[in-house]
Amino acid sequence: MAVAEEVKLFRSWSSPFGLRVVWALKLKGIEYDEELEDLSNKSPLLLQYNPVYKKIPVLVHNGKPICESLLIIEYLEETWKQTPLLPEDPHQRALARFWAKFGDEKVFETMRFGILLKQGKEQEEAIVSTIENLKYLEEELKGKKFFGGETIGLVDIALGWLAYHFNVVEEIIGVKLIEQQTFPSLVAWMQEFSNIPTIQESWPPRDKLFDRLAGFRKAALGEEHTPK
Amino acid sequence: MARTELKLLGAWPSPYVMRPRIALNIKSVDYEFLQETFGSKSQLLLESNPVHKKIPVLIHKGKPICESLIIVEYIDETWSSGPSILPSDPYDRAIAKFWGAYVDEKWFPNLRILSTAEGEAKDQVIGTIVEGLDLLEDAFVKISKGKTFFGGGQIGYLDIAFGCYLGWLRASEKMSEVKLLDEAKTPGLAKWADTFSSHPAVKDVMPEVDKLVEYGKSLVAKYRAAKAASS
Repeated sequence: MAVAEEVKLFRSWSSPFGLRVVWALKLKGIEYDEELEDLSNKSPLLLQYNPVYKKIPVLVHNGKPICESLLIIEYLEETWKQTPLLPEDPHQRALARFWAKFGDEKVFETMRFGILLKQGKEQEEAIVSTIENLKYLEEELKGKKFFGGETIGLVDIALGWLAYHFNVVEEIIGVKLIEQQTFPSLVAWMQEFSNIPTIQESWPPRDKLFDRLAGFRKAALGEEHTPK
Repeated sequence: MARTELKLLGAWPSPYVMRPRIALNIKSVDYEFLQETFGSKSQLLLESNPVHKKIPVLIHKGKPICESLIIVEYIDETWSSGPSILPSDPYDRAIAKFWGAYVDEKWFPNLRILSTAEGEAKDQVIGTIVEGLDLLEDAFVKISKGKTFFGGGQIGYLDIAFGCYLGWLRASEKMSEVKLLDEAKTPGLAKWADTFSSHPAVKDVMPEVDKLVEYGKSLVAKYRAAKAASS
């Protein structure tokens, strides 16, 4: 009798980090249960599984917790071999890890904190920095359908939030950064990526996400905002 | 491996540079070490790491690999016939990488803060560093399972990731006149630190603590001068 694999994902409805694990699980056809956490009231189980950071996502496989979204995805990659998300060549793998890390540490951080939560000179500087970083991604993408080549891989999944959450931030601040003229490959990629059914069906509700991110901005700056 | 096929761009005080050096030592792989001059970045560095412009950079057959822990993993995957650096079990790998990211993102930045902290702020950051060491002691006990290293009987990924900071940890203790790694509080780590530092793959690439103290003091002096000039 086959032993049932128990896979449980703790995540939130809005977090792009939890979302990327959902994509990896679905692309690999892994059956899993989900626990949607209220981040203002975290469950005792979550705190038990991630005592160091107390954050989502956490994947629990047969009772063993794995934390940090990119580490979870590498774990899934090594445990379920179907639909590989990383190339086989060590140098290509190193590049994939590099760009995934770059996306999180430079692009996401700056967007989430420098652009969304700031105004004036600080925001301007964050925007300049983001455009510079997006240019690196544009260059990396040139000539390719996806960062992973013909099919999506780790980097596409790691940067996936660019195709959705980023645009919500652009709308909130009233500035478009990813423009067709400057970032033709990136714009094409965002379209291709979003067209993938697994991706499309998993996006969080846009209105709800807008309200949430706009709420963060309001709290940081003390602005008024009207929910859509 | 011809030395010209493998180059490492680095600098002696950098804990991050130690990481690939230890990994290459474990694999018994020869390489050319190109030392960057502090205060200026070589053309080769700017060309091979245009995004971050940081060391270490490993250049293998003309192709650059950046980010120290990514380089260590690359070394492990490329020279796969040598002793393994990462654990073979996917769960153990995830745990090793988790703690490697923890020391980089959460723990080590506090040592930098300590170097220029004073009064209450200094006490606070010392507390944070020691709390982190308590966490790492627990992790060591769980992961080593009674063996010498995080990697078990041999040095592994997490030994390299955390151990590279030992020079600066000891230098910080001297510079700030405080005991951080206390054998009474974290006996496992204290013992591990000595064993790791004297390991053949480590001892020649671990900078001398007194040299780090001298270098650290010059950095603090520069920081204070810059702060005074801008205020």
